[in-house]
Amino acid sequence: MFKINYYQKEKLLRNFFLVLMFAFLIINSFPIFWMMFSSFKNNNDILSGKVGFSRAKNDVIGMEIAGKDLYAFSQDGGIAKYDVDSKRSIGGVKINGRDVNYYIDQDYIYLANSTKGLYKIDRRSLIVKAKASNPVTGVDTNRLGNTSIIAYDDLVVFTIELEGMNKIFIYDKKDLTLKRTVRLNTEHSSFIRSLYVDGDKLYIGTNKYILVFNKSTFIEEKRIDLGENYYPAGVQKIKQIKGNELILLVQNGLYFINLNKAEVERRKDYGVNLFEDILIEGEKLFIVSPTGLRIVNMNTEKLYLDSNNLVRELKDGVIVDPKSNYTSGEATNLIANGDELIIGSSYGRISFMKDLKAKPYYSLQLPLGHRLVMVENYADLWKNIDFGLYLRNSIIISGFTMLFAMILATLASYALVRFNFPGNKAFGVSILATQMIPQIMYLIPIFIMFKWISDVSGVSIQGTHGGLTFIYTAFFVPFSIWILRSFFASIPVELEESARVDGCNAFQVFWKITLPLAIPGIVATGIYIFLQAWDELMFAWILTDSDTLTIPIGIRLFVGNYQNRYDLMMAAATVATLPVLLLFFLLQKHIVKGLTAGAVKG
Amino acid sequence: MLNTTGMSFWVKSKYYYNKYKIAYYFILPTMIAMILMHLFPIVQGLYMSFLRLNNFTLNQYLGAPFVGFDNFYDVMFNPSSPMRIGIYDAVRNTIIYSFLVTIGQTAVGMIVALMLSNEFKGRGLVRTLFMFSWIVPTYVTGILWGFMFQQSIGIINIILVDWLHLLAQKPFWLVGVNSIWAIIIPTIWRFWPFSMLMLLAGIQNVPQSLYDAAKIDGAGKWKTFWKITWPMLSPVWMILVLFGMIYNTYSFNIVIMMFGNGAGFPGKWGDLMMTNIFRNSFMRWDFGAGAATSVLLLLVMIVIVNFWYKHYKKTEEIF
Repeated sequence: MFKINYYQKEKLLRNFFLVLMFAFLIINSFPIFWMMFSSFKNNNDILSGKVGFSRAKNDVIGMEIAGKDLYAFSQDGGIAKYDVDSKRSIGGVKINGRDVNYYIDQDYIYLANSTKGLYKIDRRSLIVKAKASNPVTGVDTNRLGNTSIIAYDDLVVFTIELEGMNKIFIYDKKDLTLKRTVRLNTEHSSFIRSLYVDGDKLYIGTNKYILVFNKSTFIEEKRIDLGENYYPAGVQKIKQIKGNELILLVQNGLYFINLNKAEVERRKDYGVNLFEDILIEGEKLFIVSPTGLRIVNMNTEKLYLDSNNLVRELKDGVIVDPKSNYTSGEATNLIANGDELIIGSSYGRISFMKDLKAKPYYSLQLPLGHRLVMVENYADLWKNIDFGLYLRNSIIISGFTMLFAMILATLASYALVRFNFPGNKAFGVSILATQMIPQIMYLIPIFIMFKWISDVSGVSIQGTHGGLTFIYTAFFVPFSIWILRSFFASIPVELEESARVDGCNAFQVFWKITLPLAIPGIVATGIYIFLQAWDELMFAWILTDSDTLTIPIGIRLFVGNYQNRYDLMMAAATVATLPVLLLFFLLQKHIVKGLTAGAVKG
Repeated sequence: MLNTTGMSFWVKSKYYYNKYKIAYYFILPTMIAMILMHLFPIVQGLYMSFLRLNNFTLNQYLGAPFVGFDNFYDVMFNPSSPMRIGIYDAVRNTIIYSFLVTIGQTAVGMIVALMLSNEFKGRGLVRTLFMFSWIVPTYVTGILWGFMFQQSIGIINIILVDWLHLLAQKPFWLVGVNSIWAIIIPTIWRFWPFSMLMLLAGIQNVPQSLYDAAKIDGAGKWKTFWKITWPMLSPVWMILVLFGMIYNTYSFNIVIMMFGNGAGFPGKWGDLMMTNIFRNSFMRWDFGAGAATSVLLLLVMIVIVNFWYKHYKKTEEIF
């Protein structure tokens, strides 16, 4: 058994308490940390109960073969370049973003995403040559869907999937400057899903129509109604035009559209439930779907092969050994390279198949997606709700309340402390008494009184900055007086007496002697009032209208409109908290001193 | 001072006015504000508790039908009145909530103040960091804890169940009996630093000589606290408890924002008096009953404060 003396025991005990205190500090600060942390999270992560940041999906969205080079495009904005023979990586570039799409031509890759916009990338060196920002601004990024991009002649056409958005944007191919915007004549509920060029026509696929435009004049020539039996969200790609037949890839099958008659002629599903991608080689049709690979005759529907060798479960974020010869079941893409088939799938897998009945003989793994740290939540907050207005209203109302209440409280508390006038005691008691009356007891009559005033005189106080500021001033003055009293009491009276002797009048004494000494206390009280006014909910709830909403009411209304957008809610909470937190951090010495003056007066 | 006996009221008034002119000017703005926004509404509110004031009679202002004590009867006893539904739940919750939160915030504040009263490096910073939870606006506190208390995605259940395995399955915090804890804990979290601040200032004001004397007499830490610190701090914690009682009984923001972020009903175990009155007044548009309930609440509060004040006065002069 150790023998320890008194001082060692004291020291041990003190350190033990210190450790306890720091542990408690961490626990106590955790909610604030969690609020800020969550404000950077992806809402899907929050809703699925994921604690950290998840990675962007790196599913293969497309592949392209040019000579010996294999270009693979992934959903997180990555471009990887491989040598087809040696399967070795020979370069890559990554432009983080969402809703990525691409178009590749002889010299350049055109990459589009909804967060950052358009990029023109040199095909050989993979260097970004030009870029343009997303023309669709002011919209919550979560509402934006797939981008589509296509380049021909000297133009780049870009569009984005968004409800009610019916524009295509035309850029100059050379330096990606916006040349013109074309408005499509479509309904509000339509989405633009894909672009395709054939001959001198530009085909624009929406979820309701295929619009046929002249590709240089952008005049609508034809409109093909997809009819009622289409799958609304599933119009994926305009795949191919053969003669006067257009083949449209939809999740529930292929739609064959007769361009002359301008109508859907037939739909074929070839026994597949969910189409991911197809490859057409003459009569042969290769289909990849979650159940595997299927090869059929496009016209006779004769089945050549049904292989489910592809189906394997892969986990998110796991890099699989490149030599292991399987792919994920969720194949998304396929291309042919001579006699071999290359299949891209989810989680960034690319598999090479020669013998189509066997498993893939080789697999590649694209780099993992970037972590989804959503700084744009804050931008989305401003786009979704009029947060700037709420912030401004809160600052105006709290600021003026602070100013007026400070003035009133300073004067009144000075008078209370220094002058023993008749009614002094009654005034002091009434100030304390106001503190124990429930606020709602004021709110009900004030609300009805304001309503009556506006009915009688037509002057509406409800919903004005001034009305709320006046009410707040009246409400926060009593407690401010209570804080300031002890502060004024601590200033020695002798100073004032000597000033009086020197010939100052009563006001001069207050103005020149006492007030400068009391400034720290007044500032502290002012900050305290600001914090209180910033925090006020009940009066603002009832007495504001759409122009004077303060932050708490703004947040409350926002929640009603956007259920389950926890990411934006936490961002809003952070924005509401940070100004006061900063204010407190900068002025905490004064505030603490001012508030505790009453506690230590004895 | 002038001997004022035998002077007429007007002469006396004039004398006092001249002597304290500046003081009266100084309190005049505050007086006006308080008469307009405190006295006026309170008198009206008292009168409105006797009126049948709802969305049909709202335009008649104080001319709404006078119904005597009907509103009070409805609130307390009338089983068929919609106002009566849930009022006893709210009363019970408010008593539990106000009691536990006041004790909790004073106790936590006292413990941390004691820890902070020792000198160590970075004490000022630690105190500031502790104060942060007091700066977070109350409506944010409600939203934030409501988010953390979510059943399946909330971090509290993730920590308790998935990480620490303290519970077999994730409990519902915002539904059922647990919601009383879901409103108590955040309120303590939000308000304890203020108690800590006051108590710390009080502790630092206790003369060191008392502790030295206790040490010489061989008193342990426990005994020193209860015999010296606690009684010396009684003016501080008594006022804290008093104000805590008042503010917690009238607590509104945290609770209303926690359930459905201000759009939902707090439920049988989360409803407080203020949320109840607010709902009945401004969502069911029954202002008469709302005013009557607040008058009842005020009467109870006056009794409590009066009792506490008498007790407090023995310890320290408040004015």
